[in-house]
Amino acid sequence: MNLNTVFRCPIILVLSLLLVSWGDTWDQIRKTARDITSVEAEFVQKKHMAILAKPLVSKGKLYFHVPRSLRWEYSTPVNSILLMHEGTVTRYIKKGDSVTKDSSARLQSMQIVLQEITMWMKGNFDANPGFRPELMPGRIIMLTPREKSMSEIIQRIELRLSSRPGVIQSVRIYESEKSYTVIEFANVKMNGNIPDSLFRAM
Amino acid sequence: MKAAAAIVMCACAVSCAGLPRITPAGAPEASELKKKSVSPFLKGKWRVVHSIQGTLPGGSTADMIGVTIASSDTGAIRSTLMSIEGLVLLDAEFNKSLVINRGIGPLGRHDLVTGMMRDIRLILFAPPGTMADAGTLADGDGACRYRSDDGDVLVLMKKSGDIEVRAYDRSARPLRTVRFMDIRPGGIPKKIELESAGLLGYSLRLDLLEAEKIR
Repeated sequence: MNLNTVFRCPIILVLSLLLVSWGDTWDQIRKTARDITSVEAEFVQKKHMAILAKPLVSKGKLYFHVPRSLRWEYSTPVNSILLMHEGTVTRYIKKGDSVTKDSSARLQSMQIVLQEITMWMKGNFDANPGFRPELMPGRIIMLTPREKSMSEIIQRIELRLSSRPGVIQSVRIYESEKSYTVIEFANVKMNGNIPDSLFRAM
Repeated sequence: MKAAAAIVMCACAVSCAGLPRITPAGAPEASELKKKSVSPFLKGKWRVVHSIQGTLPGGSTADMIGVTIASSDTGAIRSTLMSIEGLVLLDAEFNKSLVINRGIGPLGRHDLVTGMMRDIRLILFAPPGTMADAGTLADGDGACRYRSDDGDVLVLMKKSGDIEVRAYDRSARPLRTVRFMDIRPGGIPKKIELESAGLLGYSLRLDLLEAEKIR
């Protein structure tokens, strides 16, 4: 065993303990998320349905700032921006140089999930009384609707936490076993400086 | 979601006007016009994905993504309407009768989805019935009129290359106008606009995202 390995072993051990512990208990998750002030990430969304031969892929970026500001922006296939800021939710559709406000945005059930995301970013997985959270082995959080009315729309949500403390790796939203959406996050930047203007109405 | 449902809901509204006069063309020209009039419609079984922007009376809008598998041979349609975020609002099939596999809120209503299926048929399938007239309008545009038990469908071939479809009921009252623009060589239009007539008139703008022939 050379000197390098001797020094490296304890570091790896401490690091693995840290990584294992962050997604193992609710307390650890909340404690880690407490230090998060902002998140910026790219995402790829894949919609799986029986009617599709291959998943429908959408790509975009998300920006989150405490306490509850979220910009969920798709660049393809439809250029749209969903803004959640100071309690209001608005969606904008960009076509060429023109921007139109989508009046139906606040009525979309998907926004329930987006509102959830702002809470997940802060480690509050049990803040919504509509879902029963369950921490599973392998840093998986399962959210199951408590009400039948909601389970008819969303069967369950699976959150996979990254090995990097505080980071959500992916979200799976099941409407049924054959119809589900997978959102995978990449290039996650934590606690960076995100300008307020990104969350303002367009 | 209510806005999406309201667009479907408006599918029941109608108003009044009449059919324009067609100056008949000779047999060879009529045959050519007939061929051209069916060019934007599906031939065989296809899967098409569109981004859809609906505008309601009053100007409010709703954006969705539509995935449809349709066969011109059988007339069967399976259509899914989802939010941009991927939440399925409607999954319905029509093959002689309507089956709603999933319909959130008002989109679970048979009458609303039946109206939506009527719009999809008008957009994707060549007009039903027989060709009653082929020729030109006063402005020089080519025109074909198809007649069936449900009423008349007029297909106008614009000088710009766009094709316009006007659907009328049996009393010659206009029901829908569909404009096909940027038609690909294979026949699938990249842009489609549908306008419904009447007080509760609405419009849909469809932009093609994907088209795949199913064998």
